[in-house]
Amino acid sequence: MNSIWVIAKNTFKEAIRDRILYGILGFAVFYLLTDLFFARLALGDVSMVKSFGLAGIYVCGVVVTVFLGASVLYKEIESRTLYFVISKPVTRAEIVLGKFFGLFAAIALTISAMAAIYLGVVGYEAREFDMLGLLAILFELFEMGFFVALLLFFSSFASPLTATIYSSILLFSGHLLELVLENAAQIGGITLRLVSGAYYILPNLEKFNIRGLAAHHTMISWPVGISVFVYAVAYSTLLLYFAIICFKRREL
Amino acid sequence: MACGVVIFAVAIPVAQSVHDSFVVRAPKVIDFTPLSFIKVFDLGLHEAVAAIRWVSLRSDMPLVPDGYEKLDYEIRLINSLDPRFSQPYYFSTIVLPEIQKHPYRVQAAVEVGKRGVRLSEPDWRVPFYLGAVNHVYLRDRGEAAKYFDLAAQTTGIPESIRRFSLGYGIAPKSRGEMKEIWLAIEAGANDKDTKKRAEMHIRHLEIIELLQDAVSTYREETGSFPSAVEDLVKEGFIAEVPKSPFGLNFFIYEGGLIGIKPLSSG
Repeated sequence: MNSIWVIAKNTFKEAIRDRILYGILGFAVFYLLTDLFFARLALGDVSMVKSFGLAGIYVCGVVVTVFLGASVLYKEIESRTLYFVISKPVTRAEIVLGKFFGLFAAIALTISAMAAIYLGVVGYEAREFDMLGLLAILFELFEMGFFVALLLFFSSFASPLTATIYSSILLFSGHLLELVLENAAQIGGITLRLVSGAYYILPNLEKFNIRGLAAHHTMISWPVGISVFVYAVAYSTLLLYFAIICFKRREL
Repeated sequence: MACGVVIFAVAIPVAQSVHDSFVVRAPKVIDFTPLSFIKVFDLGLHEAVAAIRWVSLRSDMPLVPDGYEKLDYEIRLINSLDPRFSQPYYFSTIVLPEIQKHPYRVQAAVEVGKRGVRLSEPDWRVPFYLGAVNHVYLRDRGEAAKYFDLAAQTTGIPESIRRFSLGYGIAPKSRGEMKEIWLAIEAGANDKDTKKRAEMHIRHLEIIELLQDAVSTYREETGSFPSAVEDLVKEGFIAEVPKSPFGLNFFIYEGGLIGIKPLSSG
C-alpha cells in the first residue's frame, strides 16, 4: 500500500510538472472565459452557457488524459527509470495502481481548476451556484477515471500512439452504443442480438453524460448516480486487472 | 526586426486578398448534415453542438440564405440534438411567421411550436408564442386558448404574462365564444387534467359574467359604476365576491368593465 502511495505521489508530481498540461490548461481557461462572450450571444439562456462550458471541460479533460496517460508507462521504460523501480521490493501491480492513482489525481486537479472557472462564469451569468453542473463534472471525472484505466491497459502492451488510437476508438464507440442499439432495433434478428451483446460488454460512456440534464435543470435519481459510480469503479477495476496481467507478462 | 514585422503585416493580408480574388471556388452546395453523422462524431456533446449551430442559425434566420428547406431542416436538427433546448422552439415559433421568403411560414412555426410543447424543458414562452401565432395568424381562438392556458401553468411565467394568458377571451365581445370553446374542450377531453382546467376556465368566465351583470344593474339603479367589486356586495347586488379558480382578484375599470389582477396586488 505504501509503495502504491509513493508511486502515485511521484506520478502526480511528474504529471503536474509536464508543460503540455499547462498548455492545455491555458487553452481550457481561455475557452471557458470565452463562455462569457457566448453568454452575450445566448440572449440570457443560461442552458447554452452551461452546455458550452461543460463541453469544454469534457474535451479538455479528454485531451489532458490522452497526453498524460498514453505515455506514462512508456516514458518510464524509455528513460529506464522503471528498471530502477522494479529492482526495489515493488510488484508490477503496485506500479500500475500507483500510476493510475497518480494520474487520476493530476487529472482531477486539472478538472477541478476548470470546474472552478466554469462555476465562476455560470455564477456571474446566472447568479446561481450550478450544483447540477458540478455533478455533471463529477460524472465527467468518473469517465476520465475509466479512460485513464483504459489508457493504462493499452499502454501495458502497446506503444503510446497505438494505445491512444485504441483508446480513442473505444471512447467514440462508447458514446455511440445507444445510437447503434437504436438502429439495430429497427433491423432486428441476429443483428440486434449481436449489438445487444456488445451493448452490455463494451463500455457505455453515455452513462457518464448528464451534461444535457444539468444544462436543463433536470436532476438525476440516486439509483442512476450510484449505478454510474459502480459502473465506473467496476469497469476501471477490470481494466486495471488486465493491465496488471499484461504488464506482468511484458518483458522489460 | 520592425521591417520584418511590417513585411509580414503587409504580405499576409495581401497574399490572402489576392488568393481570395483569384481562386476558383466550387459551386456552393447546401449542406444537409445528417443527424446521425453529428451524433457519431460529437462524443455525446449534442447540447453544445446544438447551442453553437443555433447561434449561427438564429442570426441567419430572417435572411433565409440557403432556402426555407435548409432552415426547416436546421431547426429540426437542433431540436433533435437537444430536444430540451427551449430557445430554438420559441424563437422560431414567433419569428418564422414573419419570414416572407418562407412559403409555409405559419405552418412551419406551428409545427416547431407543437414540437416544443411536447419536448422542451418547461418554458412558458414556447406555449405562449404558439398561442399568439394561433391567435394572430390562424385566428384559431380554441388552439390559442389551449396554449395560453398551458403557458399560464408553466413555472417561472411572469405574473403579468400569466394574467394575460388567463384573461384571454374575457372581453365582453369574445366571452361567449370563449365559453363555448372551453365547453367543447371539456366535453372532448380524454384526460382529467384538461377537463379540470376547462371547468376552471368556464367557472372563471361565469364569475366575470355574473360580476359584469351586477355592474350593469348597479349602473341602471344608481346611475354610476361601482368603484370596486366589494361595492356590489355592500349595496346588495351580489351576496359575496366569488373566488377565482385561478387565485386572481377582480376589479372594475373606469368604464365598468371587469378585469383581473394578481391576488398579491390587492
